[in-house]
Amino acid sequence: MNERTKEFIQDRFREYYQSASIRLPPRFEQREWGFIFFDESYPDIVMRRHKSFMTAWEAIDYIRSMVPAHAFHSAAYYMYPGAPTMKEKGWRGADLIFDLDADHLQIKWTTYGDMLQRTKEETLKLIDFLRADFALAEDDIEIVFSGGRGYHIHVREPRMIELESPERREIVDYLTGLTLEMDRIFGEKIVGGDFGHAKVVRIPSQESKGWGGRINSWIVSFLLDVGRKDEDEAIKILKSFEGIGDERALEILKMAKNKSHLASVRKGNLSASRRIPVSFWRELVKRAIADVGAKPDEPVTADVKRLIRLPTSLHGGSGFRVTPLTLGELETFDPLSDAIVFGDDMIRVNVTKASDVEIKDERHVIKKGKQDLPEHLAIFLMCRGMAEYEP
Amino acid sequence: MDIAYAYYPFTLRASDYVKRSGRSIESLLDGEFGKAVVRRAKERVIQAIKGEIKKAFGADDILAQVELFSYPFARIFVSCIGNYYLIRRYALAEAKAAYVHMRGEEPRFLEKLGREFNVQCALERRDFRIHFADYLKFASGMHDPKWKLVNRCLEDGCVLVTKEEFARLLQETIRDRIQSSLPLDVSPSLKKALSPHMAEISEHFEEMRAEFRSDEFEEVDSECFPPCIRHMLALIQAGQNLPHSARFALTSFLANIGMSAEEIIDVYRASADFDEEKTEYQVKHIMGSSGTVYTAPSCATMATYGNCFGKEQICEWVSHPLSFYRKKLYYSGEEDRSSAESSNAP
Repeated sequence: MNERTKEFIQDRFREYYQSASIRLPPRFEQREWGFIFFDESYPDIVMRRHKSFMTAWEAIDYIRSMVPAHAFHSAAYYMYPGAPTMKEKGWRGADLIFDLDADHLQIKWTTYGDMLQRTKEETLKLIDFLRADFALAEDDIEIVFSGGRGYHIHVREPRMIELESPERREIVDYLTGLTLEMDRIFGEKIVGGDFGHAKVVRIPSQESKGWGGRINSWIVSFLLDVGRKDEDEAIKILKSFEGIGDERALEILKMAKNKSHLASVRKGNLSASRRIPVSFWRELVKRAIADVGAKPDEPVTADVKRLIRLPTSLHGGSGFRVTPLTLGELETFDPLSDAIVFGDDMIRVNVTKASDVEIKDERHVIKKGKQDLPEHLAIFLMCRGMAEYEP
Repeated sequence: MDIAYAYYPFTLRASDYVKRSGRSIESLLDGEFGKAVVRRAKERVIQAIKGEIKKAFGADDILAQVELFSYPFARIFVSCIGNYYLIRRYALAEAKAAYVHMRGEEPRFLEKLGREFNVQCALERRDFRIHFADYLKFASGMHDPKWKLVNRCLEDGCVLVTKEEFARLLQETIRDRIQSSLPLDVSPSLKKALSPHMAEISEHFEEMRAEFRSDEFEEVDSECFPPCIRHMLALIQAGQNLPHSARFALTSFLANIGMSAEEIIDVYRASADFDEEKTEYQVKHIMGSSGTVYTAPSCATMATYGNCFGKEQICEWVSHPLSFYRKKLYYSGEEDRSSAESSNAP
């Protein structure tokens, strides 16, 4: 990124900050702030940390006059947020943060828009856990589009603020389900009766709370889904399970189409058909766990001293607005148009890397070389290091 | 007084009783009752050092009173020595002793006890519903996977635990409270008055420490190091520089198993960026020059910072690199013993 480009982006950012309403986080005066500026080393990252502000006016004035490329505040609250070392700061709790990032989620995606859509689904999954299992109220959860490849969730419920790293790690372990013990979900029992012995396989019912109900729902919808497919395809899917051949696949398919069998699966009884091997159910539960779990980036949540992007600031790597959202807004939020703050005036740039960008509901196939592009697209490309300003 | 509180002398109710009795610590330094109290206090600390505080006063009110008053004295004894390991050991023994009795209590009683420690719960027949934040505060330190939140039924923000589990969580709370309230400030005159009793306690404590040292890490056996530590040592030998978190882990581990600062500094000599003065400062800092003695990070923390390398069988059974070392030392000792035995066989 050359000096001219840096200067141009900073001017546009300045324009945004002059008129935008910058929303400071609650108890901002107890937080540490960090900034990355459009200085000589940029886009190499030099974070200026240990900043603190006593008044809202001071904070907003600083951002408006310094115009950072990236703005962060600590999730933590401190006695002396501006102290140079962590020990001297005096930790007084921290918001509980979740970071859902496409890179970490290892989402397979085709376009930027597709990737953001998948990340949004993961975010909704996590929010459902927080609300249903952890009983957090909608007001306690702030959802933020990160301006990059995902979403941040800030939880500010007083009891969460006090949690230390190991406790936060436990919450992540709950959400991912990676350490969920099979035996807590999957029960095999031999029951005796007048007609001999039978093996009963059980999982929690669909009504049960927490992981149990989620796993049950996943299995039921898997079976419904398979039952709706045409036979060849359904058989193919079922045969991907170990130990399932043509005959057993047909048996499973028969069950998947049988309403009363499905009803007993909903109640948690997996013994409806004796000819379906236990290993099939076990594998199904495993797949359910992997799919149902939410996968926030663990070190981010466990680190009680981390800096997080300031909502309502701009992300210097994309030019997008770090956008705070309500749960209702999240459902319909389209980052590639709703997080864009720049206009459509034509700007001359020299594209250094060809690309295919979908932005503001329009697809652009961009070739290398000098050309005029609408400002919002030009800034996006410059921020990503794919174009230089060419006045 | 409700005699039951003699089992739980760390509760507000018990300490209120002691306060309201009008018997000051000084007044107990004389007289028959006082002598019995001091004798029991001394025994209490010695029992804690040995690992288990035994409480047997039956239904005798006087014995219960002795038991109750011995608690503040025991705390004073522990504070006079003031050693951090002793405080930890004592707090653990008190909490464990309380647990033994809590297991047998009625759920209602435990509910009340919990309230005193700010552990809010709702009784559900004989089980307890606790908010997950309260639950995590204590359960996150437990090793058995059954305590993991993911393996509990989490419903509307609450975790259901059995009475026995609730008692176990209270044990942790109690240990925490006792440990964080010690050492007390003991006036020089009181210290002097108690000094005749101190010798015996110190003797037991030193004995325990000596045993701990010889029992635990008699000499450093690098063959028994966990794979993560071996990996770090290999990197240094290869002249590579370790990231900060790895240096901290390695130094604290080596210090915890009894290596001296000089020996540890020698380990770093092969580093490409070795700086004797800086290394000495950092090693001594970790070993407690600033007042805090650091313990090596747990497996979970090692993994979080990407310092967990090459799992071995023993790794499956432990959650701390020091436990790995301890276990492996034990097993290799066993092997030596059994091979010695077999070679002695006719």
